[in-house]
Amino acid sequence: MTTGTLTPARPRRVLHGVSWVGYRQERTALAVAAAVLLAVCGWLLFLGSTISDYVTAHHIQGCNVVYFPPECQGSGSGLAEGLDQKWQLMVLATGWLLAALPPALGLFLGAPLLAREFETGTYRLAWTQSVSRRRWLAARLGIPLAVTLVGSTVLATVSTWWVHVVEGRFAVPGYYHWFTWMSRATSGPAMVGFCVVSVAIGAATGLVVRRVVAAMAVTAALTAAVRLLVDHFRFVLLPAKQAVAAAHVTVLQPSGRTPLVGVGHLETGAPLESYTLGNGYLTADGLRIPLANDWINTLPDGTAVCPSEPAQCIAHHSEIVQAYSDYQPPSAEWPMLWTEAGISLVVAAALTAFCFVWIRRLR
Amino acid sequence: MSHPIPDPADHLADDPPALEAIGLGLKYRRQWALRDCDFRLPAGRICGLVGPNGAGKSTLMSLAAHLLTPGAGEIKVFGGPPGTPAARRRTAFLGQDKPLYPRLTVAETLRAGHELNPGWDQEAAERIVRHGNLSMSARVGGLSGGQRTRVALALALGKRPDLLLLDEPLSDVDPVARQELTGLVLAEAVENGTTVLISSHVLAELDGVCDYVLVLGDGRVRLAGDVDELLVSHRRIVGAHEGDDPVPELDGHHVVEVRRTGRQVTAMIRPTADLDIDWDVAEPTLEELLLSYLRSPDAPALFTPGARPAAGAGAAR
Repeated sequence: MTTGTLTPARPRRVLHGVSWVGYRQERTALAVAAAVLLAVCGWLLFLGSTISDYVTAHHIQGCNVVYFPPECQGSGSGLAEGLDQKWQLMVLATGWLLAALPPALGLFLGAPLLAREFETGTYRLAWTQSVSRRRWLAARLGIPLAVTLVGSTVLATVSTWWVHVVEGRFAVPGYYHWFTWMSRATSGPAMVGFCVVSVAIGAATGLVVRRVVAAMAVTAALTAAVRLLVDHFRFVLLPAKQAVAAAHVTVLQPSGRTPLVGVGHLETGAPLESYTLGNGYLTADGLRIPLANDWINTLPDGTAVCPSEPAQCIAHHSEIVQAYSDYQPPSAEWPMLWTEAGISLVVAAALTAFCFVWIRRLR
Repeated sequence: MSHPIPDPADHLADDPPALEAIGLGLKYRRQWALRDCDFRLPAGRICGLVGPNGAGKSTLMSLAAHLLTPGAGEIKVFGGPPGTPAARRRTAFLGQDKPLYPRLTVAETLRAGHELNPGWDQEAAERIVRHGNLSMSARVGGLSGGQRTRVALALALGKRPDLLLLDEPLSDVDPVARQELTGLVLAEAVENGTTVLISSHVLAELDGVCDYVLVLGDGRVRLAGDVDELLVSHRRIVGAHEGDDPVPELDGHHVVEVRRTGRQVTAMIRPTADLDIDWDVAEPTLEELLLSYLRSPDAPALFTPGARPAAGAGAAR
């Protein structure tokens, strides 16, 4: 260590002043996070390209294990099932890992961020230097949030590709469609939003709770709550579409001798891979009769049979003229992901603002 | 920059006092930690802060360091509130538990001091660390309590403060280092005209160090002022008296404390007239004076001229 003075002629570095202190304190946590990021990205690229190579080599690009399309009959379906069996567990585990990353960031990077300062009393060291509490907080929050934003963008780029490789190819329900939970939680901007909001939740909780372990517990609960909230509002900016088709409906004869052909989906002509929000019948007067599910008994002439519930269907069966589906088309995927990201980032910004207000009030 | 050390009688100078409390109070939950606190610490003084546990010493320090905000009244640092950027730059605080970042090395801790303080004096900070034979590359978390105190002190002094607040700074330092660090703080303070407010339970330690003293008891000021003036105005008298009845020799004087052991009576008094008695009369040491006040919570509060805020200065004179 040199003992020379470092006074005025010191070269300006990228990180100086309070940002250096903020960076230095989170250096280890950020290094661990970066290592995890690299490892996960490496694993996604490895497994994803292995699966992708198999698909290309066996020409089963059009195959889907959720609803075997016509081009995937015969040997194609066997190969697709073979692929599923080969990697299903890995894909499932990877899906959970990706879904767990944002909350983990909140717990291990966000929650201790400020809580440790209070638990060990070092906030009193920081607050009695020449910088204001607000500038200190800006550095303490800004660095981890900025690094999270950049890191999760890298991760999201890789994971979006990965989701498209595995979607529908494995018997992993979370990855069946673009709207199933693993797909929508781990791809595109939604992933970035969840990472950023988790860190913000952790930091704000730590500021209020002031104990690391307690802050982690509260962060876990709050993150789950915010995730459910964001999920609930993911289509808030996207009005649902409606598809309709002509329908004739009858009711089961009391004798029970109605010649049923079997059970099938209610056909409304919504595009393939749509996310169905609800089905039902429409009468000529425009009365909507929602159905509990879209599985319908039909007669040989194609006439549908009213299920015993709801009673409305039986009461109005002669007036029913159309079947309808409310749905989100596959093109809603990216607007949905952006909506999730937007809500997450708004919540993150609100929590950050809350931190600045709270720290002024703290005495 | 340096501040002239003011003449003790020069308390009405234009320079704002380093620290001033006016009706200062703070409540924790429903308990007053500090109440109706009035005092004035002129710039350039080294002031001992004394009081029993729970008297409000740490609360007062935290208020001055802007870690707490007053619940009543006000506290001023060099004439302004403690939260301003200027006050922040001019004040350094060393808390009782000496919080430091355990994962930083000594060198990094000093660098943090440099990064966070525009007036940083790296040489002074390094000098303090080097005196303790501390390795600059040692992790703070692995240091002993005394070594940590040294690093924390280096951080506080490296800031080149005009007001240095030290809350029980040397409680976990060995006697040799204690003497050395006390000398170091004093030398730095005198060289730079720093005002120091230092709290301690070891009264003997303050003797010869402080030229000003502030005694708190039960959240209120008990005694405040210039040490020499206080010592000159008090007398410790020892004599003989039978029985538990009032001692006639003490009549007419302000009595701080009377203690009896058998026939022997020891009293701390503030004479109002010349003492013309047959007793053993001596000027008390600072330790004796402070102990007397600490042992007698009912003795009236005493301020020397200038130890009260400007508004109350007339009354105090």
